Amino acid sequence: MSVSGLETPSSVPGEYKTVSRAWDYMLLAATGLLIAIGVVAIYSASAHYALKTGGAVAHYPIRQLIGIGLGLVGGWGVLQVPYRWYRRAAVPVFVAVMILMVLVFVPGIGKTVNGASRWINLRVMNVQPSEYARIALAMVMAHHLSRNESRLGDHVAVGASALIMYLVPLFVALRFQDDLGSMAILAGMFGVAFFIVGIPWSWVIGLIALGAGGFWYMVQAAEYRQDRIAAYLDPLSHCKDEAYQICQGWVAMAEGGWTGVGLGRGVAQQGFLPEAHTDMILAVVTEEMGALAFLLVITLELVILWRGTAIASNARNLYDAVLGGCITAMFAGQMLINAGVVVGVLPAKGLVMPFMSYGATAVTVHVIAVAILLRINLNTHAIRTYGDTECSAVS
Amino acid sequence: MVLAYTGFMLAIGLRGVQLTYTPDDKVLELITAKRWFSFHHEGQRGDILARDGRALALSVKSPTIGVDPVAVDESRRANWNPVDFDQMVTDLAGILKMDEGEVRRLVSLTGDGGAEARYRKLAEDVHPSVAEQIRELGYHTQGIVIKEPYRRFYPEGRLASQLLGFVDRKGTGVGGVESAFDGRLQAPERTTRHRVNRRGQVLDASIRRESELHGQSIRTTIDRHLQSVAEKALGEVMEKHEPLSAVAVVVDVRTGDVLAMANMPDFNPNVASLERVQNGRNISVTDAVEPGSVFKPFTMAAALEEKLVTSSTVLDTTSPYEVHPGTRIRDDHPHPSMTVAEMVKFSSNVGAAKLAARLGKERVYDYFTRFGFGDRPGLGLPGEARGVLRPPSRIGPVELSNISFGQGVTASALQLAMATAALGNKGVLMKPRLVSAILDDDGEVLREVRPSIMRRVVSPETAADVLVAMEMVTDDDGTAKKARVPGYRVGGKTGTAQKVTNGVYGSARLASFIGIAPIDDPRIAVAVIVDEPSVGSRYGGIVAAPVFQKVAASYFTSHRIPPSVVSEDLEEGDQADPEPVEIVDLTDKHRLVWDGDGWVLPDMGGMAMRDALATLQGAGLRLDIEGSGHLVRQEPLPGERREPGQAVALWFE
Repeated sequence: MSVSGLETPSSVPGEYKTVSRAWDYMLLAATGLLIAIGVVAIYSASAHYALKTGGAVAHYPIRQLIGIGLGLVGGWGVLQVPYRWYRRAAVPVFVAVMILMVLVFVPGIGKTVNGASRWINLRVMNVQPSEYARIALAMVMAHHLSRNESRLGDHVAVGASALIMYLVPLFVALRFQDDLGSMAILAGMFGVAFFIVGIPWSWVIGLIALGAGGFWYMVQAAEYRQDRIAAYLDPLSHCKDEAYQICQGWVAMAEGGWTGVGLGRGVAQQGFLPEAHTDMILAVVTEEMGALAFLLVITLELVILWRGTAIASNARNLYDAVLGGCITAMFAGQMLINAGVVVGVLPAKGLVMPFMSYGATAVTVHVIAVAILLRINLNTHAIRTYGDTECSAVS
Repeated sequence: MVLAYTGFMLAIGLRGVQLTYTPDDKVLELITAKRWFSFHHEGQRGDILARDGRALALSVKSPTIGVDPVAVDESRRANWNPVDFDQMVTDLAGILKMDEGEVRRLVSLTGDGGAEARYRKLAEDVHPSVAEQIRELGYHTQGIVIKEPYRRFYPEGRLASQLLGFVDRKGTGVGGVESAFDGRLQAPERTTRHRVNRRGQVLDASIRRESELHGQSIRTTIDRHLQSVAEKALGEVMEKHEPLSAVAVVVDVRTGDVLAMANMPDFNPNVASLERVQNGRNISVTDAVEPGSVFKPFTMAAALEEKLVTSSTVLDTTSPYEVHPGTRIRDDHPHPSMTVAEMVKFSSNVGAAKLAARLGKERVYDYFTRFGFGDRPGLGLPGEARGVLRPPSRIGPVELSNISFGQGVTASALQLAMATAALGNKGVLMKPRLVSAILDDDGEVLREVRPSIMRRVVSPETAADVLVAMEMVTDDDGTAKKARVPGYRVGGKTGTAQKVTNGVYGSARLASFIGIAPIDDPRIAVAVIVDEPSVGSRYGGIVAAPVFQKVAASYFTSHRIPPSVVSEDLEEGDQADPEPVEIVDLTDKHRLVWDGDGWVLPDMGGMAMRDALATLQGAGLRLDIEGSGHLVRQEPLPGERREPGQAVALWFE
């Protein structure tokens, strides 16, 4: 299989064209396996909840599959569009996402769940723009840094402009969406982008301080987050209130043992464990398929991280490197926070585990994100051909 | 940075493994408390069987139907396969034969008890097929609660109630055999754990009943017929003389088998009542009393065995006997000098005291101990009395003479019966046997208990001599004419003891009798004790002897013992009629009921074979059985009447 059109495609035989066969099969396999495990786990974890809330038994796995389908369509598009569009699309994509980010507050368009306005109601399904904001930020950061490649030494100008133009508007919207999780992920991506272009340690410390400050502000702003911190420090003493979810997650994991109680035989999701099919899916997987499945999922997620890191470091230009790095950072952040919360090393925060947790928008974005990583890799290893003759690597 | 991140993720992975592999105690606590339900499997308690293998006590399944209105309500509103409420009410009313409005009220969320009631009883002790019908309709998964505990059932009603004891609500045997053999009768414990959801509903498809949990059965030596005769005879004594209590123990002289052990007043073990507590004690073994003159044959046996006298040795009984300065023994009806045998026949205290004086306290103590007094008989029943037999060091001249005629010494009816049996068994004391075998649930013998000899007490010659004296007691001029069974030779000894009231011998009396039948070929020994007869005669010969007479007569008939006296004319009606089978006073269309003319056949449709057979057990009906499994057809139909000996046909599938 080959993908043509990395450069201007030419249909005239015997002319030069650029192709690449550098599919990252490791990344593809890890993603495919995770998606498969994820859909099965979602089915098992959500069936009880779906029936209880009046839905069809397969309500959630079907939504997840729709999300995956949309992701595949988007990913196919990502692989097909001319490469130059990547840079050109960065700002328009960002602007479009920003508009969506604001539209969630518009009555009739936005949808509020549990007091948080994060969704746009498309009737058939809800879309969460903050998920798309991750890709949008990755693109604008890549665009911004590569455009200013020549004057990267001017950290203040380059950094401050990126902060003000891109991160702050997103943060303001997310502040009103009450979405600390997304803010943490976006902040991480922002930091990684600068890490890639190389910034002084003083900046690293400054950014961490900035993140910590923002985090402290968010914690102060909402009382429930303070309770969550207290419960995080000693979950087993708060099993009846704040740490109920964590305790039930641990109960589920303890029930699972090494090999689990068997697929579909888990009990946690039968009223014990809130968010069993979203934030706490790892606990359900562990109860049903054991600690071995837990380790398998962690390993597969790490494979995505390793491949993403390799792709970003080998990228042929700064745009690709920052884009790939930010996307990898997004995956890394999601995995870290989700798994960290489940095992109790991080305070409770609602972030989905990529490809495992239910979340139609999230899974669409994650599939597209993998497609972007694949596209970057293809681009890195593209070669010029003339007819059937390989000429040289694209420099 | 990637390395640091990988390290962190590995830490998360390890923590995850730790959480699954070595969970915190608090997590384990949560698991035990919330996620598992322990189901205690109730096994079937073993049966207590009579000598002939018929059940005296058995356990039958007794379903109770209840409802969890909250669960019904949830089933009603369920998205998936909701229950049709009206249909459910109609079905239940039909199955349980209840008023539809009443069922609706009980099943509805807001009944009288308010909205929170999680359990209301619909019907109790229903037929097993009722539970089955409800299960078939699936209502047991939609809020209808079926409990199927075993219920202890005593098919013979009051028969041998104190001997059998009963079973309390927790399934523990109380009193009698139920208590003594509780460990064997109880089914083995088994608890299974089941995963439950947050509402406590068991998630496994169903809890499989462990049908193989059975206790062991106890086969006793009790002769149902003889027991019933003894109880009836005691009942008559109760009516006629209004004593505090009346007991009778019948033992087989050759084996020591307890054939009957009757206590009055009795109780109905099928009903939890005050009566069950008040009359629960098996007085025959738990109460040792001063029995009075029934001890004289044992005094005589000791003197004969020591060759101090013979049966025909003449004793001077003309005047009161001063055993100690200031203490004189006298007879109520003074006789001229009499032989040792006549001492027993006329029940002379003076004669007995003189024999005791010649024996001395050591030998009296020794012989009485050898007869089993002052020691537990070892039947294994709860609260077996030892009785008081003073050691020689505490026997003075007064005590010595008192002991010789059964005062200042106590014994239970069982001890008396066993000692009497030793005289009938050529001087050999047997160990009393109440349990002949322990069986598994298929009726296979796990352990057999064989008769065993305790010791030789006196020589066969001595025993024979004493029996001759005891037969004389039933002579026309003896004290126990009323013990006589026309056509048979029997022997015995009466006793009328003064009772100690507030520390002194008062006017209250205790009437007693020991007897052996037939005396020429001893088969059974009987001890009867009537405590404080308050109406009519208070003499053992009048009050207690008739009980022996009835028991012996019944035994002769039922065991086809040929009459030994041919000269005496047998009058019509002299022989006691065989007793009708005791009627169980439970009215239930699923139980066999005697209406006076015959057995009204119950509705046994759907019953397991075992239950059906248990239902018809003891009625003397001839059963023709086809197939196995559950009853599908019965002839005659429910409600029809059949007499003992007639046939009932049952088809099982």
